[in-house]
Amino acid sequence: MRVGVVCPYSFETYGGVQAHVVDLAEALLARGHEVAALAPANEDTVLPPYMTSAGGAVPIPYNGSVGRLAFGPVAVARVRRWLRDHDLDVLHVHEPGTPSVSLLAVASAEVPIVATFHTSQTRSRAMSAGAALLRPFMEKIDARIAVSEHARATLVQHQGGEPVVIPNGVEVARYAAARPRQQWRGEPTVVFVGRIDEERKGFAVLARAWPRIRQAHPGARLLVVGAGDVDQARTLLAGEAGSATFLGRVDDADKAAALATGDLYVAPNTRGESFGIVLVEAMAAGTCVLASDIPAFRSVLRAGELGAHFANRDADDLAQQAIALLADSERRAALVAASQVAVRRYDWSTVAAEIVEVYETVVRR
Amino acid sequence: MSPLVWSLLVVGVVMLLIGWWLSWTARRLDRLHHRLDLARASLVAQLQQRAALALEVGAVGLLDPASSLLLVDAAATARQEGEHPDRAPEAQSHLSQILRSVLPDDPETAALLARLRQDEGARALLAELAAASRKVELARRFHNDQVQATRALRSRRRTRWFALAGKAPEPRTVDFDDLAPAVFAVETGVSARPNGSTLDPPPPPTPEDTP
Repeated sequence: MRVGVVCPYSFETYGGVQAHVVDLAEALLARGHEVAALAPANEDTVLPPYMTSAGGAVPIPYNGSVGRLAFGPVAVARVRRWLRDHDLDVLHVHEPGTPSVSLLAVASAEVPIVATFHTSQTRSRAMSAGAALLRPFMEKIDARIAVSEHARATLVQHQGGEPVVIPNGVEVARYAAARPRQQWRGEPTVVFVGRIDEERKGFAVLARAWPRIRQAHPGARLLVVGAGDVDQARTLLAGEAGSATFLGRVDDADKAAALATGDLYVAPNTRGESFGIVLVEAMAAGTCVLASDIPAFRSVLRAGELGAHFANRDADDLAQQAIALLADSERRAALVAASQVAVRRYDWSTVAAEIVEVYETVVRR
Repeated sequence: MSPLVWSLLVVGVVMLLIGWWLSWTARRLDRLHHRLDLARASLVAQLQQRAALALEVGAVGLLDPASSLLLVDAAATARQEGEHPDRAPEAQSHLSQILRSVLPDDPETAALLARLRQDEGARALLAELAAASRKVELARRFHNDQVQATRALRSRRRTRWFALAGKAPEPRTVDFDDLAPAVFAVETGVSARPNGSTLDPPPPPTPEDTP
């Protein structure tokens, strides 16, 4: 099948949607499909061979966060040329409600359209205000996919209908094969992944809990994966800054190794998560997960069956749960064993097969 | 220009805009009805595919005779009524229910399927039936999404006042039990851990698998 995949966010920054689009394209290629991808990117950004740039992107605040988007006559012309150049069987756009190239592709395409919705937000004035404007374009979509029950609920609230849920994929084998790195190890090791200066990723909550965790486990080491202001993070950790290792932004292999090194992966995200792919990655790497009890995380961890929860934004509860889990290797092993089975549902082999079945349902023969 | 000419000009432009807006709405409606036809054709195709494969699975004797008989009976009725899922949704619901009854989500069935899949032909046939069952679910949802979008535009005042929908009948959602057997979940490719130990059998479906 000839599949066109469109990502609305630029590849100068690497977020969840971009990662999903690249992984999806590669999973489809591996299954023998022809793939062409389109995304905003600057001239000097290195893109995979199957990807075309839709032109440079502009950082625009939209729907509560800043997205790097592409629009205007240049983007329209590039989208149209890309659609003309690739005689697609199906067009798969991501986040078509975002004012960027996905929406433009929907507007210009004459082929069957599949759309994946990643966002779940309660506050979405823009989505409501633009709803009337978007409706004629949303009508052109033949199949709608939501990445989580949470994203599905948002979508149903705004557009109604019956979108199907297909979760984000993870290359399970790659994470399962990751090995701990001795130089990162503590006794025990706690891992955090995410931008350290973005409030909703919750590093501050973990930093507040960290001194108490260190008190109970004096050998504990905090492994921090993710970009952001390290000095500010050290200030948050105050006297305990010495027990933290900041790896900065790393590639997938290092992230997998960091997760595998951890005895415990803590996800203190406070809001705005629709899925929680890192939780699945940690589970695949065989690391026990302790996450805030936001809906998306409760859904991935099946409300505590596959990992532990603490009350969102509650540093005391986080510390208490972490201390208990770190002291209880049997409970950790049990949670990890349950996770190892559950993550298979998220493996790209499963997810890509489900997505291809959606394509096959809408492709006109 | 006199005020009269001006006002005539303004009225003319407004009329033109309204006319363009109405014809644009009519084009949207036309497109929606066309997509609805395609979605319906896809649903019928998936239903016929599922019925034909279920019939074959029943006929080749992969299952015990009682299960086979139930399956063949339900599949034959579903195939007869496959062109009209809206008129006879019970036939499709019945086939879904029979599939779940003859292939329940228990260890015995999992073991039976594992044994059957050792034969290449049986494996392919079962995989096709599983895919067809899942696609019935998808096609029904996508069809009903189109129905909803079409009805939304049809119910607008401008559509009704100017009869923009023409003679196309009011579309209706197709509702039947389309839940595929849990043992028909997509098979995952991850089979072994790097250290050689095999992972456990596939997990039961998550809530996301059920509507």
